[in-house]
Amino acid sequence: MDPQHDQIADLPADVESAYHALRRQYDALQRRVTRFSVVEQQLILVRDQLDRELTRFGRIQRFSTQAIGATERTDFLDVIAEAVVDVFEVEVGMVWLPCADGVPARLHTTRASHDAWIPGDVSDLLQAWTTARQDCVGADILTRGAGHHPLHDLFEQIILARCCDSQGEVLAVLAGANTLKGAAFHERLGAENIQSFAVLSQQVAALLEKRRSRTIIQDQVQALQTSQRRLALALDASHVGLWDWDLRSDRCHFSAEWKAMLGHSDDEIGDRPIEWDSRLHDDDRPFAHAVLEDYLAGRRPGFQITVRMRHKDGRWLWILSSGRALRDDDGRPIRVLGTHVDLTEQKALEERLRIAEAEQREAREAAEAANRAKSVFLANMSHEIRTPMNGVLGMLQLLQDSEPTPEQAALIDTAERSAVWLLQIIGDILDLSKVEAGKLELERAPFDLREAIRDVTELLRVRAVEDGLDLEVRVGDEIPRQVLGDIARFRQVLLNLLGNALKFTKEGAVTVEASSRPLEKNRVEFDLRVRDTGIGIPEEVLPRLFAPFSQADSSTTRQFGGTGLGLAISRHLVELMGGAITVTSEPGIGSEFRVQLPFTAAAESPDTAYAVSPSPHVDDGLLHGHVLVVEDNPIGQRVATMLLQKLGLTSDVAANGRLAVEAWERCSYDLVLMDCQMPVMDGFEATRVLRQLESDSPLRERPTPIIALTANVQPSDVQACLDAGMDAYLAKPVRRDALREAVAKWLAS
Amino acid sequence: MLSFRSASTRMVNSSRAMTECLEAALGAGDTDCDLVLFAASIGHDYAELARTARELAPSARVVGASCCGIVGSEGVSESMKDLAVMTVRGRDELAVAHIDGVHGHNARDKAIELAELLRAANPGITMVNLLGPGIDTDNYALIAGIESVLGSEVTIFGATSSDNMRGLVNYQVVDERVAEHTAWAVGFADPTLRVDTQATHGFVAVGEPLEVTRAEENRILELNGKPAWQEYTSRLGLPADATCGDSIPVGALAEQLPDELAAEFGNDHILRVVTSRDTDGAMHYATGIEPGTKLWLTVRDEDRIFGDLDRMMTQMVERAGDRWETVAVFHADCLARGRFLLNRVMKEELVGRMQFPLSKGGAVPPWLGMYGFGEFARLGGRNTYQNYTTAIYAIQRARGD
Repeated sequence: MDPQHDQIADLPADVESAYHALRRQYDALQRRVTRFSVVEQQLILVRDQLDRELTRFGRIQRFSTQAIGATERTDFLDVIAEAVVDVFEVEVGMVWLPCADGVPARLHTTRASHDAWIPGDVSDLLQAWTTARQDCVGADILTRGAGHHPLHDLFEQIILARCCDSQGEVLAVLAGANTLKGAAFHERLGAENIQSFAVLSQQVAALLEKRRSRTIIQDQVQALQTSQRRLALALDASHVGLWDWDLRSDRCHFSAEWKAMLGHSDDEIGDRPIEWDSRLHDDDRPFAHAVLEDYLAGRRPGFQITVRMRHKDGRWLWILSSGRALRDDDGRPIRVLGTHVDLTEQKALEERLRIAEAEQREAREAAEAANRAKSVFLANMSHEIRTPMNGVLGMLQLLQDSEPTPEQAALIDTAERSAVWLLQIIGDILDLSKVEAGKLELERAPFDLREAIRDVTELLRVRAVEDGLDLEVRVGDEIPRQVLGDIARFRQVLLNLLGNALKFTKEGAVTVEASSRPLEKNRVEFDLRVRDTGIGIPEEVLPRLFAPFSQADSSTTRQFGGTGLGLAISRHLVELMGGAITVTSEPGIGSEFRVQLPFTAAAESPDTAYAVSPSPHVDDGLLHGHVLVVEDNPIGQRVATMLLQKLGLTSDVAANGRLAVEAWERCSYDLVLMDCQMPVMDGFEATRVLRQLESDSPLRERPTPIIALTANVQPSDVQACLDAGMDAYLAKPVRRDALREAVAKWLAS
Repeated sequence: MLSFRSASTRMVNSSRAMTECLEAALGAGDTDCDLVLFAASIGHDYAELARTARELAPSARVVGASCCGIVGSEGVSESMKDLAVMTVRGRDELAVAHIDGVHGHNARDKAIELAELLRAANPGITMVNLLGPGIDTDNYALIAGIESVLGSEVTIFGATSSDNMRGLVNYQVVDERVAEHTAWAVGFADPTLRVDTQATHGFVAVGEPLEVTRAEENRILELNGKPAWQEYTSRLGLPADATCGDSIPVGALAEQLPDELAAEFGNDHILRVVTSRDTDGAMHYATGIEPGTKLWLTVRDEDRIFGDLDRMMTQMVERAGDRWETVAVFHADCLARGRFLLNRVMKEELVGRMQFPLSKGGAVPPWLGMYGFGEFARLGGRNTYQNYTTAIYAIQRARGD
C-alpha cells in the first residue's frame, strides 16, 4: 500500500467516503481534460484545413504566374502538373491535352520520367472520362470502392476536372491522384477540395487560351525573326550595306555593313544624309543629285546609280546605290530605303577583262594578219616559184622536142618529172594552208561521179601498167550518175589515194571499188574503197597517218618520196564534204582506204552532144595564128614564144600591159597570152583596156581571145582573170599539152 | 575550419529542388562542398534528391532524412514537398559514418559500431550530429553506445527521421543509398567550434499517471495491467482502432524528471512519443523502458510553449555571450509541434522567436531544421533523447578564432 492510501485509511469513514467521491470526480475531470485535448486537436486540424484552403488560392496564383512565364509547351505542362501536386498535396499531378496540332497528345504527369508506374493507358481512361462528362462542369472525385472505375486499378483516389474555353471546347483534362500505395501518406480528398480544384482548372483553361493566342503571335514573331535572320545572313554574306532615309526627320540610318564598306566602324558615321553626300566624288555628285531628285519627283521609275565614294583610307570605291521610296497617299516620298553594293572589284575586273579582250583582239588581229601574211607569202612563194619553174619546165619540154639522144631524153624526162613533183608539193602546201585557215570553200555543182572515177583511174592506169600492177575498177550500178559536189576536190582525194596505192605497191593489184546506198530522200552514202597489196602500214602508225607531214616512217619518205601532206589534205577534204576516211592495213599484206561521203543526187542532164568546136587552125598537126605574148619575165617570154612556135604559131612579145595595148592597137592578133603581174600595167588592167577598145571599135569582127598565163593559181586569181575580161586561164608553169589545147580551142572560137 | 551554408525550398520536382538549394547555398556552378546534409518531407523522391546532390557536388558526402516538414533560414514549411539543405566545407574536420539494421533490441551495439567508424575516420571529433530511425529503436541505447566509444562529453545532437506523422515509414539517405532502419552520424572535429544545445516543450502533465506493468526493451506491452494501446487510447478518449497519427498530437507521454533536471529544463517532465503499435496492442516507445515507470498524459499550454521557448533562447544567447558567435544552427522539432499544434501564423511566430535571437544584423545563420519523431539534446550535462520539443543546436565559433 502506498503511504497516501494508508493515510486515507486512517480517516473517518465519512471523510474517507468524501475523499473517494472527490477522487472519482477528479479522475473524471482529468479524463475530461485529456478528452478536451482530443477535441482541441480536432479543432486544430479543422483550423489547419482552413489555413491550407486559404493558402491554396495563393499557391494557384503563384503557379499561374510561373506558367505564364513558361515558354516551352513541356515546361508549361510541368508547371500545371506540379501545381496540382503542390496545391492539393496529392501524389501525382496529370495534364492531358486532348489534341495538339491535330495529334492526340500524350499524358503529361509529374512522374514523366517514370512511365513504368502507369501500367495502363491512363490517357485513354481520361478521354473516356471526359467524353462521359461532356455536359458537366466543375471537378469530380473518384474514390476507390465507391463504384468501380478503370482508373481505380491505378489510383485510390483521383480528382479530375475539364479545362474548357469560353466556347466549351475541352482544352485539357486536369487530374490529381493518389496511388494505391501512396494513399496512406496523403490527406484524403474530400468535397471541400472540389471547388478549389475547379478554380484551378478554370485558371488553367484561361492560361491555355492565352497560350493559344500567344502561340499564334509567337509563331508569327518567330517566322519574322527567322526571316530577319535569313535576310541578315544573306546581307552579311552578300556584303550589302543598307540605308534608310526618313525624309521627314532628315535622318538616315546606315547599317554597320554600309559603314564598314567605307572603312568605318559603327560609331564613326552619324545619321545625317550628309554622311553619304560628303563622301561622293565631286565628278559624280551632280549626276547623283540629279538622279535622286528626278526619282523623288517621280520622273524616274527607280533610283539606281553607280558612283565613286571615298573610303576612309582615301581610296575611291565604285558603289552601286539603289533605292525605293515609300510615298504617302499624295505620292510624296516620305522615306527611301536602299542598298549599297561595292562594285570596285567588279569594276577592276571589268577593266582587266576589257584589257584582256583588247589584247585578245589584238592577238587575234595579229594572228589573222600573220595568217594573211602567210597566205600572201604562200601565194607569193607559189608565184615566185612557178615563174622560174615555168622557165624550167618550158625549156625541158623544148629540149624534148630537140631530138635528144636516148640518154639525154631520159635525163630530160627525169628533170621534168622532178619539176612536176615540186609543183605538186607547192600545190599541196597551199591546199593545206587554206584548209587549216578554214578558207577552202567547196563548190556545189552537179557532176558525173562515175565519170570522175573513170577519169582518175584512167589517168593513173598508164602508171599502173608501167609498174606492172593490175588496176581493177568496180563501180556499182546503183551509183547515181549526177551528184551535187565539188568534182575537183573529189578527184583530188581519189587521185591521192590511188596514187599512194600505186606508189606503195610493188606487185599485185590495186582495186578501186565504188558503191552507194540510199539514205533519206534523194541522198546517198557513197562508199569508195581503194585497196592494194602493198607494203601495208604498221599498227602504231595508223593513228597519226592522217596528220600532216606524216608517213609511216622516215624511211618511207626516203624510199617512196612524198611530203606526207596528201592524206592530211584528203582527210580535211572528205570531212569538209561531210564524210569520213578510214584505213585498215596489215603490214606486208596491204591496205584499204575507205571514204564514205554523203551526196545529194542531182537530176541527170540528158546526154548532150558536146558542141562541135570550130576547127582550130590545124594543118599537119600544127596550129596557125598570130599570138601576142604579154610577159615581163624574159625567160617566160622565151618559153612562151618557143612553145607557140613549136605549135606552129607566130608571136609578138609585150613586156607589160601598156606595151600590149599599144601592140594590140598596132597589129591584129588571133590570141593574147596575158601574164597578170607586170610592171607599168598589169594583165587585169590591160585586159580591161583591150576589151574597152574592142567595144569602142565596132569594126573588129570579134573579140580577141585572151588567155591568162600566170603564176597566180588561187581560185580568186582565176576569178579575177575572168572578171577582168579574160576568156581562159592557164597556170604557170605551163604544160605544152595544156597550152596546145587551150590555144587550139580559142583560136577555133 | 568548417564553414556552413544553407538553403530551403518547396518544390514538387525533387531534382530541381535539390539543384535550386545547392545553387543557392554554394552559388551556381560551385561544387566546392564536402558534405551535404538534407531533410526532405515524405512526398519527395529521396533517390532523386541524393543523385542530384552527388551530381552537383561530386566530392561531397551526402546524408539525409525523411521528415514531416522543414525549417530553413528562409522560414518554415510543412508540405509534402519541402527540402532543406546544409552544406559544409572542411573535409579534414569531418567524419561521416552509418550503420544499417538498427532496431530497439540492437541499438546500443549498432551505436558502438557507428561511433567506432566515426572515431576511426577522425579521432578528434568533439560533437556528433546523429540521425536515427524514427520508429522502433531505443534512442537512449543509441546515445549510450556512442558515448561508450567517444565519451559522454561529446555532444550528441540531432533528430530521428519520420514520415508525415503516419508512423508508417521513415528514410535515411547516405550518399546515393536510401534505406530504413539506418542511423548515420556526422562527426565534427573543428577545434574552433562548439555546439550549444537545448530543448523545450511547454506541455503540462495531467491526471493520474499510467503505470507500465509489462515492457520489453522499447516496447510497452501493458499499462495499468491492461493491453497498452487499449489503455492508452481509452485514457485519451480515442477509439481503439485509432492510429499513431491520431494519437501523436494529443498523446504525449511524460516521465517525471529529477528535481535538478526539472529546474534546468523548466518543466517537471520530459516527454515521450508512441511512434508505432503492434497488432497485439504493444506500443513502440522512443526509449527503453522498465516496468513500474509512471507515464503521465499531457495537455498543451500555448502560453508555456511560447514562454518556455523564449526562456530557452534567452539562456542560449546568455551562454554565448560576447565570446561565441553562432555560425550555423541545426534544429530538430517534433512533428506534433507544427501544423498539428499551431496554426500557420502562430507557427511562423514560434519559428521567428527561435531564429531572431541567433540572428546577426537581421540575417538568420545557416539553418537546417526538420520536423521529426524525436530530438537529441543535452540536459543536465548529459546527452538525452526527448520528444515533443523544439531542440536548437547552435554551432558556435569563439570570436577571434
